[in-house]
Amino acid sequence: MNNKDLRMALVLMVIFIILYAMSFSFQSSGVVKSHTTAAFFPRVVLLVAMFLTLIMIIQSIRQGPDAAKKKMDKAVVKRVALTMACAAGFGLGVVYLGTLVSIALFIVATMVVWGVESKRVIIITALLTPLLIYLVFNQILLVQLPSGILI
Amino acid sequence: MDQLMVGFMTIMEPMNFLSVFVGVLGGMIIGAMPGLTAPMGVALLIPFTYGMQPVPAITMLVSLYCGATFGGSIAAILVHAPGTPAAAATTFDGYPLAQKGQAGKALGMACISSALGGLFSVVVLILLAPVLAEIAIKFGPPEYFALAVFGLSMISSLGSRSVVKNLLGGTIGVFIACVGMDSISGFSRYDFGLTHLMDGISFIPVMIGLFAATEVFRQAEIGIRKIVVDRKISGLLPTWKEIKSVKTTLLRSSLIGTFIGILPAEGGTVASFIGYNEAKRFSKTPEKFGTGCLEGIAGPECANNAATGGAMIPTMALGIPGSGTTAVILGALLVHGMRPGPLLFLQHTNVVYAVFIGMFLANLMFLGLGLGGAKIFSQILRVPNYVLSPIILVLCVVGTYALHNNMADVWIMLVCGLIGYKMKAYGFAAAPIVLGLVLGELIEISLRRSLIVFDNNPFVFFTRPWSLAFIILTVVGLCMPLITSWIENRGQNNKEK
Amino acid sequence: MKKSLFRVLVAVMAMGFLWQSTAFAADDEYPSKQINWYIHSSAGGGTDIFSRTVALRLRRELKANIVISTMSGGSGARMLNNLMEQPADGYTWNSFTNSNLATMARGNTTASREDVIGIARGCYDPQALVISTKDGGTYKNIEEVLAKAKESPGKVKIGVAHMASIDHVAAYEFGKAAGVEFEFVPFDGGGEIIVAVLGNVIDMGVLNPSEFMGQYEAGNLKPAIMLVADRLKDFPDTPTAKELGYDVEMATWRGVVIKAGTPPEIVEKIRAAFAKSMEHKIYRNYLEDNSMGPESIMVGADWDAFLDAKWPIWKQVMADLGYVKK
Repeated sequence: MNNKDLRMALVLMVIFIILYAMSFSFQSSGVVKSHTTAAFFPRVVLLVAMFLTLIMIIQSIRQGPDAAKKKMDKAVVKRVALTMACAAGFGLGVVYLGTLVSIALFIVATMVVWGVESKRVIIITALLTPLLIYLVFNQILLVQLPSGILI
Repeated sequence: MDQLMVGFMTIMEPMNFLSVFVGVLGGMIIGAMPGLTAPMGVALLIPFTYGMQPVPAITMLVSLYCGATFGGSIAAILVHAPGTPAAAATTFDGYPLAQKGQAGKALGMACISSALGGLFSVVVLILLAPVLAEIAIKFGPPEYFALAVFGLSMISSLGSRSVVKNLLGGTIGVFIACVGMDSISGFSRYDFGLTHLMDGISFIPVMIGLFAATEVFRQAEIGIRKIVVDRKISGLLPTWKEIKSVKTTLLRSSLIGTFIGILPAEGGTVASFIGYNEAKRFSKTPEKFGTGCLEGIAGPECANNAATGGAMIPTMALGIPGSGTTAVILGALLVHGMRPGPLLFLQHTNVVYAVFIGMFLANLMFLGLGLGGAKIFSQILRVPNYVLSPIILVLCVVGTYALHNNMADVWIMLVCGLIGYKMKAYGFAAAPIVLGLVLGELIEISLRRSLIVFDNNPFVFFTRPWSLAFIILTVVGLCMPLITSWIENRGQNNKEK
Repeated sequence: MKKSLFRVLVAVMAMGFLWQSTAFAADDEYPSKQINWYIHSSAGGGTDIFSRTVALRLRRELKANIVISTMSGGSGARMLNNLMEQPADGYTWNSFTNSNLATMARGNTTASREDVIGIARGCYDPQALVISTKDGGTYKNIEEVLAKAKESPGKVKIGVAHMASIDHVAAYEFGKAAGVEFEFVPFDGGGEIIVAVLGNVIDMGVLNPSEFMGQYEAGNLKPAIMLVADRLKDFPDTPTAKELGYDVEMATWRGVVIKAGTPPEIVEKIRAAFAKSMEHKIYRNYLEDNSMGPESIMVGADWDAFLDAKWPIWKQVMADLGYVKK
């Protein structure tokens, strides 16, 4: 039994069933009767997805056990997780602090998380990137980047 | 012939030549930035062309289109971020080759195949536009459905080794395309009450997330890495022998790209996926695909640039845009007092041929710029990953935001980056999901539209010639591996006897 | 040394304060800051090009920085919701089209007709029902189409760009007036409808003149009827709905609205700027190139009255067709 695949397949199955159930709450016109409704195609797709998940479940049960998992180093897991957290913080920062400040903060944070030692590299990157982004997007392409309470 | 000469002379005027150059260069930059797409670039440029003469104005827009379609491959190869959706398939082999230290070779191959595909399609455009435009009319809803099914049949062979997981990934992609306003019934689905989601999940943020953001997280896993790129090797361009070895792929992809380009509902993205898949199917060494082989770069890159000329065919000859970018170019033609349609070639002969020659020149120009620049661009890989990765994520966020000025897209992109990183551990690949998402809307709409038009008759897909042809191709394509392996097995059995 | 640094700092702060206060002083004079103009559709679409063309002159008329950005989501729902959240100070504009009125009528946005004031209308592109004339075509005129539709209800297929759109409403209203039932086939845009009409996949398509002009000149398509009152200059031979006795008038229009409650003097200033910008050669050329007449332009109270007239019709049709949010 391949536990990893089985767990994944079961989670997917539950999601598909919930999404299928949701399709019953879609509005439909009631006047235009000859057309297929909004729920028609998602249901077909979800049925196919459930069928494939079922095959995945059967395969995972018949398969041998998981290959010996090579454990990731704790430090690595921490670094990846913190990078993701930085990315999420960056997204929030764009909304609340403003784009350019968040870019600088994000770059400093990520580089610190990755263990970059050279302060010069960190500072130069953190200053140059927002400047370039500002020039290219705001000045040349006229895209309005979100500005929060700061710039 | 005279018109071509006149067109050539017109383009060689300094102002027109300059506008080709500006268009190509601007296009390459816009194309290389994830999130900034060719339609957006053209739309931004239109107001600036109001005061210009028709020839330089239209030529500049068309050149930008060509340049952007090639430019997408630069970011795809160097940093695993498809700059334009049409470059997604280029990441499959372009990025691995660049990671092996041969970025120059990958970029050079992409550039040469893009230019050859583009030149091929422009020649077709000049010679056969009015004739081929008829194909666009022959394609009704059932034909699009059959084409989409053919495209979707590729997911079984793209991506990870597990066929079931590939199919499931593709199905999930098709499902994601269902989110938002259903354009047949006019009602919103799975929007969870958010107006952001009512327009659906567009595939560009998903693509950037799954390819580029995922790669940033993977770099985080590696951590600080010593630079291993050898300056000399990384700048090397492909050799003449290597170019010759992919000539059949180039020809095949040129044909595929031009054909898909002509169809109004599809453009470079589908063309590049089909180009990649067919290159793999006919390759002598399909097992090398995905590890950085040149055929895997030539296939999609040639096809997506061939689609540029193809897309111009119905735009100019019918007045029906062949892709998102040509829809904007069509608007620009109107602004300059030219009405695209069957009479355009008669009413504005000189402008039309000048634009075509301009497009030809644009392809040659990015060939020069791309080959010349390949050495410089490939130096990006000498920037340490701890500097490059955060900057790439910044570009992903800003570019995705710029797409629709919508923070929701940014969140979708980031979540997809996370999913893309996690799902690899479960044996799922990004390619089937993206392909499902790209084709999902077409497959749903063309199916349901066919049912309306043909009064719910499901046999219509088998009675119309083009549609039947694609269905047969699909079946043959799916059965081919089974048949060949069966024949091989039998051959071996016979030998053993 | 330290003292002089301190002085410089004080001087800079004082200058900053002065600059701030002058900025405040200028506040009386609208516009004193950037104007954000939102559109609901993507870059390069009809609404985008309309907005950008007007803005070319507007920037000079108002002497203001006008930034046009897309705010997509729910056929204008998100854009209108955003307008409702902004102060009524004239610094947030929305492009406003049939689709946005439909979104309001369907109850998909917090905004309603009373919540916006019309500034000006810039496009009025009549809807036409178009048939194929390629290889003789199936129908000769609108009477033949209607005869077929009466003979077999629901079998005559009409291509429209999306359901619950101006095309759909136009074809539905025309069918109601003519007493026939059409089958509506939704497409993603005018180009796809033209392909389907030319390929004989559908019987008729709802299109705007700018969309089918090229094919009309080539003799492949012709409008069977125009849903307007008076015959158009470009189509002298095409009957209008009014002539044939159907009280249906439908067109794709585009204009600009701002939030209700904006001070009247600001509203009038913007309206005047629009009136001047749309008189300019650039805008007139744009209209002509897109087969629209100068009657497209409608400024101020007239445009408000136009919206008032359309509002009950759209609410009624959306309810009839079952599109109103329950």
